[in-house]
Amino acid sequence: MQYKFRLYIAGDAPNSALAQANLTALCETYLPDRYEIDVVDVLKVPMLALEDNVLMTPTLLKLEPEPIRRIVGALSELRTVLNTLGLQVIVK
Amino acid sequence: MKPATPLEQEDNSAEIATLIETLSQTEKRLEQLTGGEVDSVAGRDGQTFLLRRAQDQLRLNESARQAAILNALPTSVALLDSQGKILTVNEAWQQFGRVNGAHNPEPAISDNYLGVCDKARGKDSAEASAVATGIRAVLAGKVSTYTLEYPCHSPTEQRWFLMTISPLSHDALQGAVVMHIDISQRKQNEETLQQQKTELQVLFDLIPAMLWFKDAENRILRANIKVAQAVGMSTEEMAGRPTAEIYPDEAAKYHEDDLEVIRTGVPKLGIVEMVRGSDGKELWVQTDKVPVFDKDGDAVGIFVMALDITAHKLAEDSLRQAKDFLQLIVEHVPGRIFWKDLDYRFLGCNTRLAEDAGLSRPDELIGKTDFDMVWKDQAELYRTDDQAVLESGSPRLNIEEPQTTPDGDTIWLRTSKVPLRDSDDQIIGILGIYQDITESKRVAQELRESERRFADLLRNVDLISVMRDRDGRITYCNEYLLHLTGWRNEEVIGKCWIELFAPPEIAEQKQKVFAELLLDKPAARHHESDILTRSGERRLIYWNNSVLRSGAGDVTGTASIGEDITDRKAAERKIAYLNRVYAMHSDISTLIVRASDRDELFREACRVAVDIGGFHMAMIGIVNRDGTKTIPVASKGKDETLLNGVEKLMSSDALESNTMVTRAIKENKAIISNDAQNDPHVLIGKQYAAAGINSIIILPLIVAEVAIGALALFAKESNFFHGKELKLLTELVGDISFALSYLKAQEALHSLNAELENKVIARTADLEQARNEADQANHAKSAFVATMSHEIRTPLNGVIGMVDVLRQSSLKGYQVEMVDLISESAFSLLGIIEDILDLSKIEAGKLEIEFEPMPVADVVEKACGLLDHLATRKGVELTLFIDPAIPKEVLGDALRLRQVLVNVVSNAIKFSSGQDRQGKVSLRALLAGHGPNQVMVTFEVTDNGIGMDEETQARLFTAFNQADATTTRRFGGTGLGLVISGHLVERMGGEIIVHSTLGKGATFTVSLPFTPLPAKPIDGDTPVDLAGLSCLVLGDRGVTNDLAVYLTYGGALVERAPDLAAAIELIGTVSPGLWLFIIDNWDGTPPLEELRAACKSRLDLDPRFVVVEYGHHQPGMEPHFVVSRLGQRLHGPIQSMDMVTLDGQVMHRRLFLQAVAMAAGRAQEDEEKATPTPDRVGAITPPSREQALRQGRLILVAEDNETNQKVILHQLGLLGYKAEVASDGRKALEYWESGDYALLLADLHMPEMDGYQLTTSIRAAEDGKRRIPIIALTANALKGEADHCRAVGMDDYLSKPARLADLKTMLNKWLPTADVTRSDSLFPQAMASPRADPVDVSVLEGLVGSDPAVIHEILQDFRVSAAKTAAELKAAFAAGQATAAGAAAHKLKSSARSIGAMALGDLCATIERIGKTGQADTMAEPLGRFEVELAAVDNYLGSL
Repeated sequence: MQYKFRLYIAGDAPNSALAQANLTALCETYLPDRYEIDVVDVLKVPMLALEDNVLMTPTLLKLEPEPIRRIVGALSELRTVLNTLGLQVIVK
Repeated sequence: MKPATPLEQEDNSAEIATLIETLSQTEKRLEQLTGGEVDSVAGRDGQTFLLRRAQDQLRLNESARQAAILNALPTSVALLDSQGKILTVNEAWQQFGRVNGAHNPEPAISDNYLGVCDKARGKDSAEASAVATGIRAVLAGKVSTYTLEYPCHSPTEQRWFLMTISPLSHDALQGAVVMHIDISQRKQNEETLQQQKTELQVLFDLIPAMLWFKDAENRILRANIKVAQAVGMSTEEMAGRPTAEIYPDEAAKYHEDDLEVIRTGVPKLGIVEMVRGSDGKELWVQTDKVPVFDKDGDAVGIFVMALDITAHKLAEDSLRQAKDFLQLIVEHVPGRIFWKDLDYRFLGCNTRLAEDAGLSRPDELIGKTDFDMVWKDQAELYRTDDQAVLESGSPRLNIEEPQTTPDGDTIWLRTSKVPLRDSDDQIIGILGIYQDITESKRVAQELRESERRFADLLRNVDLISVMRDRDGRITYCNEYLLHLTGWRNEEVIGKCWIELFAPPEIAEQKQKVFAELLLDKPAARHHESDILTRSGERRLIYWNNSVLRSGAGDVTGTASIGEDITDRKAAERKIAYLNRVYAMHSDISTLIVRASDRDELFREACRVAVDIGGFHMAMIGIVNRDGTKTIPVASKGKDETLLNGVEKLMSSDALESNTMVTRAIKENKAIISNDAQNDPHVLIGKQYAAAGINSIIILPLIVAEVAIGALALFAKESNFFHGKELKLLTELVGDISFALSYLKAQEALHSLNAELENKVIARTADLEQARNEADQANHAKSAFVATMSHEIRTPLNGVIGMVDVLRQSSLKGYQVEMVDLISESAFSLLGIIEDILDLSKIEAGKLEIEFEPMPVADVVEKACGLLDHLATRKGVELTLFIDPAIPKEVLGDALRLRQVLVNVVSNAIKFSSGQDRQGKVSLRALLAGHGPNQVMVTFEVTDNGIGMDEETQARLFTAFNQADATTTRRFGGTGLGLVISGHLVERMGGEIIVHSTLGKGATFTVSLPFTPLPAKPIDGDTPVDLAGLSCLVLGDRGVTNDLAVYLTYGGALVERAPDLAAAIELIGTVSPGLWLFIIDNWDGTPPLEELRAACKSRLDLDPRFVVVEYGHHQPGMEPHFVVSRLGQRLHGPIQSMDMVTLDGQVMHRRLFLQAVAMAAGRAQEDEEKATPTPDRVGAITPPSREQALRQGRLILVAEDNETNQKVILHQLGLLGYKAEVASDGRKALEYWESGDYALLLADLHMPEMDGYQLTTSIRAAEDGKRRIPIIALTANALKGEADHCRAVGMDDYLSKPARLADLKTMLNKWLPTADVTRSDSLFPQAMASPRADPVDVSVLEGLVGSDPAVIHEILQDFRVSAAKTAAELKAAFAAGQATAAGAAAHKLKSSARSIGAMALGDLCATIERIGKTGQADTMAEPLGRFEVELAAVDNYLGSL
């Protein structure tokens, strides 16, 4: 199953940079070869955020598989993020 | 956002404070809600707000990155604000500051860089100032960047920095960046490189060769000093130039090589070539060309090194030449050459020797010995020779040895060996040279064989074979000689040949031949000579001699082969002799036919006998007339002495004697002596013996059976005349005899012919003499005529001159007529004489025709002008027409043309006058033909005179043949005019033709060719302009046509009307305006009124009239036309003039056209010229000598002829000049020396000293002092004389007889006008001057000169005649015959006045006057006074 994410950031502001780094680490760990990340800088492309109804950055959107989920913040709480994204994590 | 007003700000401040609080609170709350994990939020309108923490973080990140970059740079960087203050510096800047702080305090942050720079002092101040300027320029935005390289050496190292200053952003106001970059490394590299380059150049220049680098385009990058010297350019100048500029001549050659090296990458080494240095000298160079590669291995240039090897090259060349030369010698020496060392080993040889040895090259032989060669069989032999040479140290020459060839054959050699020595004379080897003599050896062998065979042959043939030694002794002879001569071999061998065999008489000659033979002279090789046999018999031998030589070539003796030709020769001689006799026979036969006389026959017969017959001598003698002796008549022979002897003998002995000749003649047969030297019949046997004569034959010459003489033939051979020859010779003599009889007959005939011829010659001579006499007579006639003409002319000149003078005196009417008649007769006579003179010139061929520019019209008009007078006098109408088409000027002889025209026209006038009808003559000059270089003009002279028949016409141009002998009497003249004209026309290249009908007149047509000259404007000849004038010409004859031609030529529009009716008809139709009616030659009154009437009907016409009339002309009347008004002939103003009348007699074209122009109102009438009084010159009293001298007007006349003297003196007197006469040039010169004379009139031809010499002497003596004018006087108006006169220094020229008017003009020209009294009469009134004497002799002196003798003579004459006249007068008076008395007084009056007896003259005049009244009684009183005065005059004259 292919995961498609869109991450809204505000330039290289600290939380945005952190969110990008955390997302990349998460995908590489749990969804190797099955993900696609679309990074959108609201400082450069503000209108796309408006269409997606994103009001704060960083905000992560899981576009596929449905349902669409969104998470605001630096994605520092791994478990929360996984849960929000609907990913089953088996802890051994 | 609109800026708020301050008031509003105040009003808004509370709200602003609230909003700021909200902003702060909002941010805080957002932080709390998002746990600090959100960086930005967006409003509903899409506006994004970056939270402050994120903002701070971002800013920090940015500056940290920039600082990191700056600090990472090894370059010192500082940022300046717009004022130059340092905002920040990087780590390198700070570090540099720390390290170098002590030496170079680096400005730090917040320092003002500009301030630092401005404050700099010392050695860096200038640099710092520059830097400050640079910074300011950058900060001001004036430059985009500023850089500076500068050294900054520390104690330990050499450092360089590059400072750059550039604006911080494009907006310079933002500040600037200053960077110091450490470029020490680069600088060091550069310096090292430069040093290396310098070292390289030095190295370059040190190399003793020309070196240069060139790039791939062959441009010189670098060259050394050698190159510079060679091309005469500095190394710097050369750099960058293409080779072609440096070596223009040879660049192409080098270029090719260079490009090849660059292209292939292969070096070219050791190219030796010749170049020329800058000084033009030849240089030999060895060149190496090496390509230069870049690091990729591509050739990018070329390195060339050229070494001057000229000296080396020259040395090498001469060495090679020397070697080559030696080699050449060795190779070309005939024979073989080798050289060996002391061990007999070959060191070398030539190619021939190598070939002999079967080797291909000489060097294959080196190191070998003879034992190694194909001739090893002979090696021992050769070794022996070699050893001998080496041991003795002397050469061995011409050793003949065999040698085995590679083919195994044996050949023979002739070898010479010499020791080879070094420079210390030590023997170091052997040099050998040998030749192959195999062939010559073989030949020698064969020769010996051949000799032997030949000797055998000689022994056995029928030829003498003899060999002699140098002394002439016989060393060998063959059998044949012994057989022929009868000697035995042992009697011959060792004997002298000449002593034994040669006949004694030729022994000496043989000895000479033998001597020549020993010298091998070709002449001695072949000859014929007799030998004697033992029995004394002679044999003739033909010898073939040659010399014998030793091996060394010396002559050792002779070898001779002889053929016995005795019998053959005898036969040949006989044949030759017979041939000669036949030839002689044949020649004499020819001779007999050819010979024209006896002597020739005899002479030739003797010659043939000797030359052809081969006899030694031949002679013919003829018996003399009385038969007493024989006379030798011809002989021929080689021996003069003998010939004389025989002739003497023959002529001396009488026929009675018994000599061979007389016997032959007497006995009439041939007498022979075949042994003349011993024959007793022969008288001069000794002489014959001396001449070698042995046989004689005398043959009689028989004519008509009588021996008239004999032919003697002499032969050298003895016993010669026998049988056959005798017969032949007898026949021969028979032939000669026949010829003699034939000749005798011929001679008789000849003498007859000669007689006839002589008669003819004599006759011819007579005729010739007659002709010569006639010629001489004719010549004498011409000379006589010329002389006579001249002699007659001189006195005639006197007559004419004197008549001229006479005409000036007071003459009565009838006297004037008489004088005129005299004058006319004299001129007529002069004309005749001149005609005769012309004719004699023509007959003598001395008349020359000139070719000079000549105005044709002028000449014709003048000729007519001369005859105008004659025509008028004779009442003949003379009309003239000159075709306007004739060129104005041509080359021709004006004088002669005029002469012809005057002759022909005067003839025409003469023969058309005095008839019943009006005489008419017309002269019409017409252009008959026109080419580029020639025009043909005909002069037609037509008259209506008596005409002539054809016979007369034919004789017309023959001298002294007038048309009819009777005409001479009727019309006068010599008839020479036409003859002369005919000749002149012929000489001018034309012809004269006459057409005539007897009784109806004649037309003479003279046709002459002329060379036309280009037209040139002639002064005063402005053409008369009739352009556009309408003219109507009335009349229908030839002259009318001519007028129409003139008018057309003038540009007028011409209508013609033959008669009045036609004219009136024309007037009705012509166009309106001005019309000119030209009326020609109307009989009676011109129909002016009729024409005027006709014109009245045409109011639009303006008629004018020109009437040409004839026969109204008065000679001398000027002008030739008069103006008439409405029928009244009057001179009047031009404006009112409607008619011009002009005289048709000799009417000139110009005059006619001018008249027409005047009638048309286009021209003014010529001013009436002052009519000069013709001929008559005002009579002037001549001054006395003293007067004239005082006035400087005394004239000297040099003249030898007395008549001429008188004439000129009288003429001068008339003109008021006093003159003195010198009768020849020498006297004139003496007179002139007195210095009294103002002018000299000199005759040219005088005794003692002629006029030319006189002038030359005077001019020489004057020497620039006062110059006397000299005027020449001559009767001979020859061409060139005037020039000659001027050339010798004369001033002018006057021909005799000088007309008074001409003389006056001349004197006025050369002497200032005299202030002399002029009187109406030639003779001054006696009463006017009171005087004591009844006679004023000066009057007579003034007339005839002051010669007392002349005066005396005249005066004494006067006394006699006066007494006589006075007696008549008194007798008449006594008889009451008043008229007769008056006539007598008249006679005395003029003579009295002439001698100066004025009172007497006046009394005579009174008596004359009374005589005319017829009142004799009133004559008594003056008669009384007359007698008193006459007595006084007579007394006075008697007392003189």
